[in-house]
Amino acid sequence: MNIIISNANNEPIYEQIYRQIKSAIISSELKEGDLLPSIRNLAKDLRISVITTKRAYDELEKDGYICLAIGKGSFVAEKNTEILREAHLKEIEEHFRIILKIAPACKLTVDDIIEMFKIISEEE
Amino acid sequence: MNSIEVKNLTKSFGDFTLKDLSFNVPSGTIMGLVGENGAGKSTAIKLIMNTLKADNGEVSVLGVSNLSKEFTNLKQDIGVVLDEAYFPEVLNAKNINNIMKLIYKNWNEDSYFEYIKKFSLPLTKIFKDFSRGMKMKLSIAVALSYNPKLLILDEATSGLDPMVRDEILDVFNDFTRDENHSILLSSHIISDLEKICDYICFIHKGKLLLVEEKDLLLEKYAVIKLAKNQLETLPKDSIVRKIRTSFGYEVLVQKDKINAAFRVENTRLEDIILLMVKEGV
Amino acid sequence: MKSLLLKDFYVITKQLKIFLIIIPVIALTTGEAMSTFSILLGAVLPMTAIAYDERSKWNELASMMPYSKFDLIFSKYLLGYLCMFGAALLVFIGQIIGKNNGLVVIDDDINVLLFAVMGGLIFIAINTPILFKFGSEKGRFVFIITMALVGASGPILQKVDSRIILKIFNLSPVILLAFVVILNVMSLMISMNIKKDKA
Repeated sequence: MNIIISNANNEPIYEQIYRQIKSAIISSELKEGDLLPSIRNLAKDLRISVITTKRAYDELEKDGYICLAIGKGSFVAEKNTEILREAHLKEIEEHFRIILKIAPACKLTVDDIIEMFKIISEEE
Repeated sequence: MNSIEVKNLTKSFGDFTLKDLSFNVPSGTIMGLVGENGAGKSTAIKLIMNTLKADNGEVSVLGVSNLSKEFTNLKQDIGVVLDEAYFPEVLNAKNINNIMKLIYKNWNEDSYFEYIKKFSLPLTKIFKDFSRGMKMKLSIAVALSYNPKLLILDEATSGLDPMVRDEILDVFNDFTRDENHSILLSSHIISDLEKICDYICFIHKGKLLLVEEKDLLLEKYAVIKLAKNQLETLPKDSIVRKIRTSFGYEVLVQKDKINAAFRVENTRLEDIILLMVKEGV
Repeated sequence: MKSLLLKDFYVITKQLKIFLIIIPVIALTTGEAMSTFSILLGAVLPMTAIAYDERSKWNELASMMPYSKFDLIFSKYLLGYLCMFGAALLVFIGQIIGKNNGLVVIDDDINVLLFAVMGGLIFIAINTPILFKFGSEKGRFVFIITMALVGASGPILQKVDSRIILKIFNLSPVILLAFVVILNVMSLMISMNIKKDKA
């Protein structure tokens, strides 16, 4: 898993870590039971504060993505289907929004879009 | 546990007073002491190590009061690198090894010579012929070679070229991979502190202006440059400090109180801190 | 203490090497006065060590190392004693060799030697607190004045005759020694007090 911290945008560093680990878990790049790097080592490798990595890990634990085992480290939690479903729903919503943004450029109406969707889903 | 606890530390000299300095360095973290030259950073360090007697206040290091009898022995666990205080200039790296062997119980000769090699330092050249960078590296090699729990570094990167500074900051970064290791690092080069510190303690003219998590500071504040008419559209409660410059205004703002009309970019720690004390035109 | 002594010996290595050569030569070729003088040179080496310490602000660094105040202060005294006794030994050896070769003839040389050593111990007791209080720059003035006094007293002492010196010794060698020891202890206490609140 490669975590990249960018100073360019406005996103707080702990959020960047949270986001990247979360998507690695959802995309199954990180599997259930996988051991995550320790809070300290991650901080030192990325040259960021341990307080920040701890915050990211605490948030991930609170939202159910990882478990902290004292003395052993942090593990990817068992896949919670609710959480996965929500994440996927959000992704679909995002895609819809993008479609709706681009559609006016080629003068497609909502009905046109629904037509297109039906044709494609029949092909699949 | 806190590796350093400072409470109401006060010391007066003729024309300068360090007043009511209070902060803690939690174990396993790096605290950066920021301030301009003469702000009181070196004084604070001397007071913490009881090299200077404080007029008032309490200090405990690694759980031991700096006035207690055990404090001298505690220095076995503290690595110190100072700005301009070194070994006598006629000594060389080998001499220093033999001297340190006799005072530090945990002195690790192999470790010392490994650092010497890593820093490319000569073994028999005398200190007098070292550049400042080499002197610093040697002091750091010594400080790391008896397995200290705490490093106290006074301007350990000043006067060094950027490559050497980065090399040394890496060493400090690695030192704190161990959660029992802490660092108190003072510098007027804020960009260095931004790279590795967990906490920032800002001292200005002998007074403590702030102690805060570095990342929180960067998340919370930003500096924007505005013309006068733009200034008037800023939400009043977002302004922490504003100064007039020759081209308009520089404003220190709280990011979460800014309305969406303003594009606020990430600000360097240096700019945030400087604006807290800058004088306007 | 060992650590500090080793450091100071490293610092004054060059001077020690010079003394190793010069002192026996002086002892071999000159009379009492110069021999006495050369022992005093040994007592002066701590000044060089302190001067180097000041140049690199060593005291500030040392105060943050696990040395006790006593170690830091007494090590300078000990350095002086060791250097001075070393010098006395060299003079003694030089004189023996000189005697055997017929080069030097000195009456009562052991007494003179002891007299010089006492002088050296007294000098250390007086000079060291001055060095601690005023630093090595100003301390040098005291040294120069002392040397001038010794130099001036040389001709006077020559006239005085070593038998009187002998008398002082026979009078109370133990008391003289005790006096010097007490003087040094007092000096040590004064030095500790001077350095009480400083690095």
